[in-house]
Amino acid sequence: MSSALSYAPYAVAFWLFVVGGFGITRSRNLIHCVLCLNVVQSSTYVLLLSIGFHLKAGAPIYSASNPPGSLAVDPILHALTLTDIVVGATVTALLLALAIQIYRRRGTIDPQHLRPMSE
Amino acid sequence: MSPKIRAVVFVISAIATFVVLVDASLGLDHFGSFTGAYSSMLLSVATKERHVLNVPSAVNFDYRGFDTLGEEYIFFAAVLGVLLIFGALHGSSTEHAGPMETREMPRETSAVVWIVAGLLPFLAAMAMDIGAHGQLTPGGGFQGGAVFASAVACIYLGLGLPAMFRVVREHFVDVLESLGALSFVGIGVGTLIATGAFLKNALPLGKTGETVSGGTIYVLSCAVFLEIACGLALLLVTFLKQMRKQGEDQQ
Repeated sequence: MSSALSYAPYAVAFWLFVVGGFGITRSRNLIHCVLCLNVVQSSTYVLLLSIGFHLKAGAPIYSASNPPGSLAVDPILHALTLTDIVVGATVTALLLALAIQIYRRRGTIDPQHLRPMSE
Repeated sequence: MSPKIRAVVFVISAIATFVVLVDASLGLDHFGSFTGAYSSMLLSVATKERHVLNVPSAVNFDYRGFDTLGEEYIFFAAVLGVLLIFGALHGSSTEHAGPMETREMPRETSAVVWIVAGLLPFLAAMAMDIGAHGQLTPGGGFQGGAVFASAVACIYLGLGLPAMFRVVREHFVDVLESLGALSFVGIGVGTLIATGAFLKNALPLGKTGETVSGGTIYVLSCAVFLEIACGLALLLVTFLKQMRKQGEDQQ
């Protein structure tokens, strides 16, 4: 594989990271903000899985077509990605709960109308 | 900070971050050629040592089991956080006193009810199948628990909120979730007493390829299944309850 193309998966991860950050800074809605954070987090999935990928290897889950001992992609990064997804989902739930509660207290979920310590 | 200044600050910091990231990525292996020493070692020993076929499961529940303990408690703390934010820990039993439906909800057609009724046992069985075979196939406690919670969501879709509140009794589900979290630690302490090492695989490993194999990997996966399924169901019920409360406030 040509060397420029071999960095493309990492570039996708960095693009997701930066574009999610852009969404957060420009956000006018806390729910949109939480979803942008999810985009940032999905960059870590792409990065982890593309680091551990091997062109000639199978899944690290052995089966008849892929018997134990055959070449497989990195299992540690797969386990880390699983951790990442679980933590991401729970953090999303927590942040959405906060957004609902902020709406109840302040009547808005536009971060630009929310001032710290304004009560 | 005005939007304009914020945009400028973002562009500067984004460019700086991007430069650092690109510089870091140049030091990585070329895509598709990674061979880490730790992962190669695990791939060669996991099936022999632990009698499992799913190596990421062995990493999650055995070789790096302590990390999964932390992950599980992040989940536990987040569910607890959502309950605390909504103040659902106290007085949730009295909330049931009033009439359940405050808004005019369109009644589900019998086709929807029947589809959901048909889907429910299938989803629950599939969740348990995924959860119970984490050491053999792609699956395990986390994945199975998430599918099981989607079965709970199906109750809401087909039968509405009152049916869901009847099925998912919060206090009971809360206890089950805590039990799942506690049994992970309990197994760890048990292995600590038995072998002198926390979360060391002390149970008989069984035969590779059979459902009950992998020793503590299987048991820990079941504990995680219980916690994730109950935790997600609890999150779902809490959010739906807030939705109903919102409807009451607007009237």
